[in-house]
Amino acid sequence: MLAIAFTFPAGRYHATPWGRHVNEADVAWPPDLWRLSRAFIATWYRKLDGQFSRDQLHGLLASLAEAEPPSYRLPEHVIHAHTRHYMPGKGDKKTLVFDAFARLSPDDALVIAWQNLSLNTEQYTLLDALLVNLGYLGRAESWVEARRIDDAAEYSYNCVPTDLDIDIETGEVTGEIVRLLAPQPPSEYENFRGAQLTQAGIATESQGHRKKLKSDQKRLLSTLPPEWIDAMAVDTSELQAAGWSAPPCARTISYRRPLQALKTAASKTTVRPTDGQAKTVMTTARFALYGKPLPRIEDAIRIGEALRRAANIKANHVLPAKLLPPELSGHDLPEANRHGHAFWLPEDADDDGAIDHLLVHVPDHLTQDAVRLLTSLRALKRDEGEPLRLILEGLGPASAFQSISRYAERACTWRSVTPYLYPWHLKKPELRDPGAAWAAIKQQLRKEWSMRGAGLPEIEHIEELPEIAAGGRKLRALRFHRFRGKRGLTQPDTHGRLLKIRFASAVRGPVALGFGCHFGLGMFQPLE
Amino acid sequence: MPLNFDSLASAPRLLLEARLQPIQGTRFQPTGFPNLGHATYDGPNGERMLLVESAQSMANRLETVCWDKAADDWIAPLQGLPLVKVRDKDGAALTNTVLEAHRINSPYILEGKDKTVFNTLKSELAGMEEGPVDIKQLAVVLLKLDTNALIHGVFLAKSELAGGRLRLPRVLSSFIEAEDVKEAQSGGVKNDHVNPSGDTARGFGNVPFARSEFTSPKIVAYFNLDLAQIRAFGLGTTVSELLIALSLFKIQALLSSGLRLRTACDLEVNEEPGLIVTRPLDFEMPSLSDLESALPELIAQVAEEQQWPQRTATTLTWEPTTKAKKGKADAPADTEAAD
Repeated sequence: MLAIAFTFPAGRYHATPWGRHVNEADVAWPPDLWRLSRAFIATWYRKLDGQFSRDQLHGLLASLAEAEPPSYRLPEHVIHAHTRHYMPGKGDKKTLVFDAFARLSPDDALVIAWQNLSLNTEQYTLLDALLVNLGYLGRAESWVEARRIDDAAEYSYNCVPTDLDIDIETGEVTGEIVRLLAPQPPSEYENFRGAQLTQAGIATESQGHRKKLKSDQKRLLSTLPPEWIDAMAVDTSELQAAGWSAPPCARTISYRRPLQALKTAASKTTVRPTDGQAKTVMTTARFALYGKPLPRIEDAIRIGEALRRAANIKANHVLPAKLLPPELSGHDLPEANRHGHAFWLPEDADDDGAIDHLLVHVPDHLTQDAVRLLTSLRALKRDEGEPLRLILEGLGPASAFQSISRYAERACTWRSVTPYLYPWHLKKPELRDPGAAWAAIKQQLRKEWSMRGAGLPEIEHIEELPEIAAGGRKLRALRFHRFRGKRGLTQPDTHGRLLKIRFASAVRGPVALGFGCHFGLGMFQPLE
Repeated sequence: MPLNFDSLASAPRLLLEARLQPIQGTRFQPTGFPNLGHATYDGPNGERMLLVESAQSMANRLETVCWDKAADDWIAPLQGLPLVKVRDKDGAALTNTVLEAHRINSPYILEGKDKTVFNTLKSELAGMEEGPVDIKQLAVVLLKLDTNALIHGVFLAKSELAGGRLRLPRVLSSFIEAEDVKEAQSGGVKNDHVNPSGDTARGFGNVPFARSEFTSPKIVAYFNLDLAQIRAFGLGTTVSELLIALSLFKIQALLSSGLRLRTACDLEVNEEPGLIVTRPLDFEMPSLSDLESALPELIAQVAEEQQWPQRTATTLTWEPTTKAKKGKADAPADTEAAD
């Protein structure tokens, strides 16, 4: 196997495909064997003709041309871009020229691999010298570094010689067909040339003396030199002047290139290098709620569930899968996902006792589908009266909301906004003894908190509050609606408690614990 | 300190990168014409990129730093290098191969009545009408006529000269690119407090204008010197050293004083990391003062070796032939010459 890796130190590759005008701003991608062979000839002429003979060059290029067509490994992120320039001419004349190029990472290699080709030692030596001395590939701005590689099998080749661009079994389009030029093997060129000259009425060298040629015959003859290497080196302008639509010494090979191998704009999902800084993960969305009357904070769980329902209905309209993404639904998640999915948290930001905002918090981060869905939510239906209007205020990490939402602050001491309901059954002795019950509840709370993630600060102190203030009202736990709308759920605690908890060090909210904590029960806010 | 190019002896190329920053503030003015827009495009990681200076434009700048306009000659350290000067019929300086976009292929040199240079090229490069072009012979001729063209490349596009096939690629190429750019839009009004609604075409009246500038956390000038090509000219060690030293001088001179690319695009090299050698890693870039002090000696050595005449500048007089247009139009300041 022979494989060559090309990297472009300036991150740019400029090359115009054969037969295209430079101002069409197309890019010949991938670089074909025809271009590479011509680049080798030019490099030999300019830098190596004193060290290697013409016959050696012929031998190497013929081996490449006669081998099975190579496969390519194309870099994943390649952008097809162009710049425009005025090229000054004589006097005041300015010509507008387009300079198209592929912009790629300087360290992302393009690999060309011949699966079943091995060369002799002399050819390897020449090839290595050509690769070292190859300064650019394509136009002069396409600085290139090329080298032979041994680990070619580790690459996956995504641009292969074939004329099939669909999966026959599934009918799926798997790529696009590009036609790449490659040199004809020397013997085929000889036959082709003989046929062309005979057809044009020109005697070949072996047929002896030539009659005086007409101008078009001369032009044709100049593009069909007897030497195969000379035929590859004929200037493109000469070929075009003689009327060739493709170089006579070249053949066309169909390749399947991945769809989007050359993008005109970078995909917005590309992960950018972070230079060692922590990546900002989008976990939280905040909605403002409008309507009259606004629901009371006591009905928080109803509103949390209503928002989840609204999202579920919207998913059917806006998402291709017609389902809530797992991080919003909480379904089909791996066993390890303990509360990494969405919390739908109603919020009373102005302390008037009415829910005026909603926070959707997904600790595992929001996917593109989730963002698309949340940005399309407009209204929240109630059992009666006008629907409540939802206005998306923003998306970001929880910390982005700390100045406007108490749920997103960092604090050591937190107190209940809605009652905490313990999630696991108490044992009978504990049920009979209030002291034992309180100890067991505190134990459950600590256990649940420790399962929220590794390295979280411990709960140092838990205290029960008789009541909390909201909108000028004193609210006890029993004033709140404490039941899920979903039937058939086991609910060990129907009473609920209002708590104050203190952590060993500050934690970032939202903090929601206990039964129904994903829908608005067991919510906490920092203690002022 | 004497120059030491030992670590370049077998290296195929020298790659350098210089991190740049605006001298004042954070904004810089991009190149571009109103009808072309700015040369922005996406990078592979989704960052917005901007071409600050193209390869052609950088070639012009790397030549401008070698020229003393007031004296109409090379700057002091480069005195004695061959070039072609063009004068008008009154003997006043018109142009020269250092400042001409296409160097020795300039129409003011090859298309006028004075055929001195054309005939020299024709006689010295005879015999290349058929078959491959002899690059080494072309390099020998250019070395004594227009040394600068060996560094920046040349394309003798005249059919009388080897069928228009004589060309040398750039040995030194360069461009400047900015990463992750953000546009900074501003504007203003040119006020006429006497007559705000005066005829703006004649310079009166209030004239509002818009301004597009950019900011970027990373502006990089890239340089690439094709050492293998310099060696392949076959002109000997001394000439190769001169060409390398001249190229490095151009880079250092540009970075130290030639980075005012446009009125509002005045850049300088960041102190950290400054100019970085990326290939070969063990090469230490000589300072501008070392290059300035070494170049006159190198030029003298090459002059002796190549038996250059006392006057290395070829002077010719520009008189248009009947075919050529009269007068040289001034190109707009921002025009990039394609080499």
